Amino acid sequence: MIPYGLFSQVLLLITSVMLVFTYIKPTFAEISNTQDEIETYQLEIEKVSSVNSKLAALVSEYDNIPNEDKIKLLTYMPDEVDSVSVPRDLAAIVERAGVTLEAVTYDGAPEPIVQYDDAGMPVITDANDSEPHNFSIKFECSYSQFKEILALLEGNAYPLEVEEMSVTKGEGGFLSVELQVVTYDSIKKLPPNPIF
Amino acid sequence: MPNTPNTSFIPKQGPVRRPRQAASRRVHVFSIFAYIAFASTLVSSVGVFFYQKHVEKQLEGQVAQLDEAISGFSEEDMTQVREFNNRLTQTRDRLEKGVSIVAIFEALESAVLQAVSFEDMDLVRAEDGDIELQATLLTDSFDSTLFQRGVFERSDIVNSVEVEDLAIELGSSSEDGESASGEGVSFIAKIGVPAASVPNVPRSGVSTPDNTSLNESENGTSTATSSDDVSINVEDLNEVTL
Repeated sequence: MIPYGLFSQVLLLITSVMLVFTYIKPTFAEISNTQDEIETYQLEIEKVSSVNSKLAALVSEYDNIPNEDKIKLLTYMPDEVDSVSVPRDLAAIVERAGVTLEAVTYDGAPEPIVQYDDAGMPVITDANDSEPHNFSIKFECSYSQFKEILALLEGNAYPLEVEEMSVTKGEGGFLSVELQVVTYDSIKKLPPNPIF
Repeated sequence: MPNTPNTSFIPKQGPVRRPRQAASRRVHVFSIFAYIAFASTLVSSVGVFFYQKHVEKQLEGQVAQLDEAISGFSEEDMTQVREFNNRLTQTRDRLEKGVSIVAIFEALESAVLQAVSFEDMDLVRAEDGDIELQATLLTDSFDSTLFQRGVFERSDIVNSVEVEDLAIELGSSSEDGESASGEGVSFIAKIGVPAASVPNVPRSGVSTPDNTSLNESENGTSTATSSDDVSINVEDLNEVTL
């Protein structure tokens, strides 16, 4: 027969072992998980704080740029090209050189090269590219006037790049000129989703 | 038989104290071990309980801090900065790719011989930004053609010259049989001009259509150029995933 003292001691040991396996060990595991979560949260907090501080620095930098310069930048690379004001400026440039503009047309923007992701959503490969808009102008002028027009185009407050040019010698030393001029805007327009 | 003398030849066992049993001592050690084990388990349980509460409180604190940090993030500011950076990058890109057609004409002026005249000219910008120029030229002789090709090849802004469709142009004759416009040699010159050799550098003294001087454009350019110092790098910001 087992004595009462020994029984209680064995019971104590069994209780201790049960406590270890049913409470202490699982709780330690939970604590370990919680500590891992804390570590993850700390990393995320560091990242978010770093982003916030960088953003604050950039916003401060942005705020320090003079409004005049911001306007010039917006003029050089607008959100959208105005298909009326650009021909007006082209006509004014040609007239400034003492030449009469024969024709000016807006040829539109070329289709951007677009790839589609697995969900069928359009993805533009290089979002940093500005979107070109083509304009064609036609006029007759002397060589010196032609050079002046080119200089005015190159010195414009927004880009008016000559993409294509055709010059033919006409009568009396005058040149018949056709120019394809390109200007750019900043916002890239995505084509409609082909699925929906 | 009272007072029986101890006369037996067989010695009797005296009152000997029973030796302590070893088992009894083992029970004590075991009980001490059991009590210590139980007590330490209890203490550990209590400790673990409170430590768990402490860790959970720490986690709640971290969650609150993260929420606070996230709420401090301004999507509007981010959009503004990204848009500005995008515009700045595009502007810099365009300025770097800009070429001066006037510079090409000035270079041609210094490279064209007196005996050579241009009949027509086509200019196209290739995809890589370089300029392909094709012109029909008229010279007075083959020697002039050869010399002209050599001058083009030696030009600083030209990287390739091809002469094609060489033809003798017969001059129209007048009634008395004398040549009125003279004979000549015509050819097509294909000239390649790298974009880097004719960068568009804004000039002063030219005015833009809306009565503003070119300085505005120069300023516009200098804005973009000076904006190199104000480069806003949002790449780091893109790495954040919440």
